[in-house]
Amino acid sequence: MAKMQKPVELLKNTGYETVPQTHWMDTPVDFRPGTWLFPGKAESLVAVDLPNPRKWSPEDADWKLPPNWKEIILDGMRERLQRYRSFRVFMDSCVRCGACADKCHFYLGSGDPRNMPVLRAELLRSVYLYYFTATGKTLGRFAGARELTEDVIKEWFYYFHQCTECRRCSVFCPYGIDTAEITMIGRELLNLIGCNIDWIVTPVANCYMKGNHLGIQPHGLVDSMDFLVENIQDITGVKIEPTFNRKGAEILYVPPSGDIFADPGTYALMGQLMLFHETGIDYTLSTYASEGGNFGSFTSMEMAKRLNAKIYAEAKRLGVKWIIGGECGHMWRVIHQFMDTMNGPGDFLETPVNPVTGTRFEHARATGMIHVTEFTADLIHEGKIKLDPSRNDNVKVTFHDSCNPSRAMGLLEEPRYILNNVCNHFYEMPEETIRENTFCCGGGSGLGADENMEMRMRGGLPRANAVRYVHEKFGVNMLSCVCAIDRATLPPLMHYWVPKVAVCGVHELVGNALIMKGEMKRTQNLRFEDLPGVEEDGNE
Amino acid sequence: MLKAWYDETLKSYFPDSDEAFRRNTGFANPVGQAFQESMAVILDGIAEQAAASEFAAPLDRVVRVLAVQGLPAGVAIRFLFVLRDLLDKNADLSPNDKKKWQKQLDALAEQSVETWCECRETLAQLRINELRNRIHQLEASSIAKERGGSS
Repeated sequence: MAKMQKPVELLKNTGYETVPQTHWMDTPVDFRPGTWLFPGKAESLVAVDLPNPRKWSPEDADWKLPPNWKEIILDGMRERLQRYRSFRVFMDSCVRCGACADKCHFYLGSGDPRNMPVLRAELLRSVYLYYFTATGKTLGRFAGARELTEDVIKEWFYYFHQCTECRRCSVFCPYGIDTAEITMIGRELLNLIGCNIDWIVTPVANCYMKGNHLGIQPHGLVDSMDFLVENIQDITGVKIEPTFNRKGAEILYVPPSGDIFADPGTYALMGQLMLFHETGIDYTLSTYASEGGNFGSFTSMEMAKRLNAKIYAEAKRLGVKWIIGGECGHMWRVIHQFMDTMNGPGDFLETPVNPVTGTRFEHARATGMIHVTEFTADLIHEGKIKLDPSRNDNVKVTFHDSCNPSRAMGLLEEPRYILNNVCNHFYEMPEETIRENTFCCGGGSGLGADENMEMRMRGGLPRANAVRYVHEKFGVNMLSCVCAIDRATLPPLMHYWVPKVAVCGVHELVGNALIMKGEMKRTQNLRFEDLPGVEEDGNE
Repeated sequence: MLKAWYDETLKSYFPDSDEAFRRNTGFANPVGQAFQESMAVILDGIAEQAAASEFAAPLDRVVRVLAVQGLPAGVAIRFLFVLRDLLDKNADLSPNDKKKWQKQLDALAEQSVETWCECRETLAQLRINELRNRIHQLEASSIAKERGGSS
């Protein structure tokens, strides 16, 4: 009888040496540049009392963990298993059916099995089984359990920072396991021994010390806002005067700070300021609650609570009746799912009522806070603003459902309703890539750094692939969204995958289309580009 | 031929995920979609001895995916040599046809290396752009601080 070749020998004959020769538990992580993120700066950790501040690199053999790191992690797991029932349920209830496996954008863009949500969760679950279950203790690896080692920590660091907590996988899980929460717990545990990334920790420190992720102080905020106001006046001839820290205003407006400083977010913010001015609502901004975003939620629940607290604190100090939140993504997961129990009840606020239309936003009774697209969609629906959508005729627009507003708060219709009213050319991406099935930008949850650009391009491929389709089919040249992180991460993504598509916030298009009382003849859009038809008019 | 080329290519680059990538279609499988659609165009182009410009778009689509998979250039263009092997083994082709196809594949390999380099340069440029944007933000904030009169 001929000698039968073993699988490994058979594979050798194919000439493809890339096949892993070891089980996933025995395959160490390859920290290849372009795929991992820089660790948190020691001074940022110190600013927010995070443990084990030090200088280190994931490429080093020695990560300078505390001597009792194992005890810290296991105690941390034990504490969280007791505190979060969801964590224990998620650890116990997965049957490895694989429904989530091919739903993660990082998996679809990289083919790395440890980016299958089920396997990413298994990185943590295997340790849970080994230390916290009888089967794991008894049967060990046979039951999918493994001992906690430094290599496991390195694997957690690598893969829990390749999950954007977008929750697409959870849409498909028949048991309702929220893998994003497993990543959140994984990152919490890593933070206990000082294994975190700078793109998260430094914004957290900034936000804690100065109120926003960029670390801009009050006068800087006011000055930047003045700059935007000047631009609005140059374009429209209308002078608007937003106020800061004005006690007794009816509404507190909390945008993401990225929109105050970085294009194209600035254009979206200008659109919102124009709308507030036009409708004459009584609002103010806070120089301390100057950040809707919450990178604390990518660190730990405690940190999320610390950073979120300023919104209610400022609302109370200023004596406002309710709050409008800007075009931000993860901000809305924190507000919609956690704020009421973290820092609420917001019972000092009133149920938001649109002062222009009289619409009462009952669904926001608990938090006292609505999304700016809810406010705008209501204004349009009630016919309270004048719009000229032809001013956006130079763009063919599609809409990227930002992960958190769509999946965490169900904000699906309002942005579309607005877009259909402010521009004449709106095209949807394929059904399986939008709404609750939306694909992530690949840079959410603090992963929008530059050192991991290659990984971001892998993670963003599924989204870019759908944009590419509408670009080729309908000539779409503008990708709109309602998230500040999207406005930061989608431009490079488009640059690489679909170079002729730009990115904007929904309210940039609102600002372009809005006909303001007393405005001069508009010739430019909010980017100081000629409006469609202006050039022809000038030539006549 | 297309199926064999696609299957072998997936096995080569995504050995742990080739089954999943083969099973799913359309937007649920962007890598597979890019590979399949582009490979079909490339194969038709080779059969029809199309001009080099006809291959630019499909080659770009495949190489652009492979350029962000952590592969060296030589490995990233291996998918063309997979096709070369398959053509070599194809008994239905005359030696003359094989020679013509192989010559064209050599040209495509050169074109692919150039595309790979462009993609990697774009990635580097994106990193530079991000750093530049960040410096611009810092400058803007420091100007704002100066105007504000304190720091």
